[in-house]
Amino acid sequence: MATQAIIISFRNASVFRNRKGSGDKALVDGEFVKRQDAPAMEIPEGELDARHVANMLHVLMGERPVPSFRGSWATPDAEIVSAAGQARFRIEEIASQETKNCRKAVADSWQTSRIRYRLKSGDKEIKGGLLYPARLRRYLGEELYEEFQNLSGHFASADAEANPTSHRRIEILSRHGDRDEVRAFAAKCKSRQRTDLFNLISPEGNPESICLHQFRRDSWENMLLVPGSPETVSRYNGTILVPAESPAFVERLANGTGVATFLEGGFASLRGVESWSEALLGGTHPVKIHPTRNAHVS
Amino acid sequence: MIKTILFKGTLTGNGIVNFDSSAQKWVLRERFPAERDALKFDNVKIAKHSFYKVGETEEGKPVWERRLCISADCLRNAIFSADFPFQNTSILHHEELLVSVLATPAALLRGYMFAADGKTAIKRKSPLMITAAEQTSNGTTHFEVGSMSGAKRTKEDEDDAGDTSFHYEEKAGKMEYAFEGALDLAELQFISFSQFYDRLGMLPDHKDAFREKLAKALGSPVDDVRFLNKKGALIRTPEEGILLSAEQVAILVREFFTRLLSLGIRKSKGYAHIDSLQVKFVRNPIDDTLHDAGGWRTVKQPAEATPAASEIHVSYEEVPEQEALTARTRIEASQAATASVKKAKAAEKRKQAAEKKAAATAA
Repeated sequence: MATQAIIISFRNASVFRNRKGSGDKALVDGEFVKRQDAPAMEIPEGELDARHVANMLHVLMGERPVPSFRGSWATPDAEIVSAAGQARFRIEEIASQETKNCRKAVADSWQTSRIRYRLKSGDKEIKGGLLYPARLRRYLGEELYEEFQNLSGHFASADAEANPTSHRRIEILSRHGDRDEVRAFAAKCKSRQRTDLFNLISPEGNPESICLHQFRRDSWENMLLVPGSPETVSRYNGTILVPAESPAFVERLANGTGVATFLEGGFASLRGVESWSEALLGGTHPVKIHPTRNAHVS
Repeated sequence: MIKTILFKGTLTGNGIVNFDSSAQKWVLRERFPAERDALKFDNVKIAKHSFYKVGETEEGKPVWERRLCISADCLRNAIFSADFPFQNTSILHHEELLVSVLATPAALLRGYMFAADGKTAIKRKSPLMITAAEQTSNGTTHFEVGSMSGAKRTKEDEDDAGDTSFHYEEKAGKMEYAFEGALDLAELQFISFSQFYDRLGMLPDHKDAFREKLAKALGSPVDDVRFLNKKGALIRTPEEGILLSAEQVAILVREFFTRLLSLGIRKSKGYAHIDSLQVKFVRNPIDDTLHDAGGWRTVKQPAEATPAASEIHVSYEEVPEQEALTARTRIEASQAATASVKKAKAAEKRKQAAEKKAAATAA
């Protein structure tokens, strides 16, 4: 029988609702799965889940929370989990439908912009962003990149051009595309599936088909975090009452720091400890363990 | 000894600095019928709000009040905007760049997560908690009609020469907001180098480079990775990580309050900047709470909000390596045993299902 109530206030705790289906991935036990296939608690509007309360209590008592879905060797504290299961809450809704701009990784972000190359065959706008040495080195590999640098450096100094950029070096090689050493280098590029560079510098190349920076659609070089699809969240303020059956349980709060995060972006803080009474419980509801969508994935 | 620093502050400004999506019009239309005319169209700009039920009509429908707010995400973005003008997952690809970014006071304060297919995810929970800043002044907002001149993307027909379009936009005058938050010193002083609690903060392979760069940023040598336990915790499972010294924690606290005290959000049609800030040092979490009026101090300078290093509570204690490894082995053995029991149960279940199916087929 509870003798005392640990009173916790929380503000700005958000819950994602009706997540949009997208190609976005979530990380589950080191594996990437589609976000809509990842495990998630299905919490009805105006409800809280006991597992969230248990995690917050762990932090308030100086323990480390244990992930509900993601793999971890740690096990939760049974006394805290039990108390959280009997907690009651009161919610004051502050925004039932707020839009949050979630970031997402875009795989082919570099392809969208075009950059003009002055090639021997004429000016061409090539798809892709800025080409800088590190990008070119990753694309060509060490050996080809060294050869590219030496060859383009040789012609650049012959043309009295100091410190040319990678972009400019490609233009220089294109200008000297008829020379045997450039032809040999272009042929080597083609044989090693670096056809985009071959198309740029060789007189036989086809600059119309170049998308230089589309090295691999999902490659790391092309990843960029951008403001992604807006998601709708419900945002709550409220109070949680956790029953404490022994003074020792209350004392464990002294191990913590009095504050914890709660749900998405929520800020929970210890409000105090009072005697458990019916008067405290007015307008409160019990927390529950809600069903888990895609539980089999974890 | 100080475990947490609570803070609450006010912002003043003019106009709206944080907008919501136009889909918010459905909420406003239902709750504020008087403004339906402005909310009929899709080209409407709506500010972020908090809503409160303040009564009921005679028909029993709720009466709503709305207050402007600046979301916590917007505030965090503004606090660290000079440190992180953009984010790019590609830095995970470039190890030196990654370490350079993560071994900074801003990354340790703001937290981060870098995850990618085929790479170990690294993440750090932010020791900073902050609420949305909510309007405290009496000003109300209203919808104004605005016009824009420019070539239309689509025209209804060839004779449609009009290049002016109209839109509605929520407008506000002078505004005051209040926010509150906390800086958790226990979270701040620890950087995990272990996946044990699913919070690997830095790849162990880059330990030395990370320590070297962080030492430069903090002005003193950073301790080596050790097995650490949280003081007073009942769950005694050591975790590998770096424990920052109290002096280094004090530097990080000062760095944070430097940013917070210069917080300003500037938009083309509005601004909000910090007006006042109060802090409270939490020594006993049960007594020193956010809701208790005692112990708050107004601060103007970062140094006033920074505790002396000697007053900062060290929340972790070192565990001898041999003891830590023994504990780890015990846990891993226990986990393996549990997994094998689960596996056996699942196999038994499958066997029973197969037998049942075979019996049904035979019948």
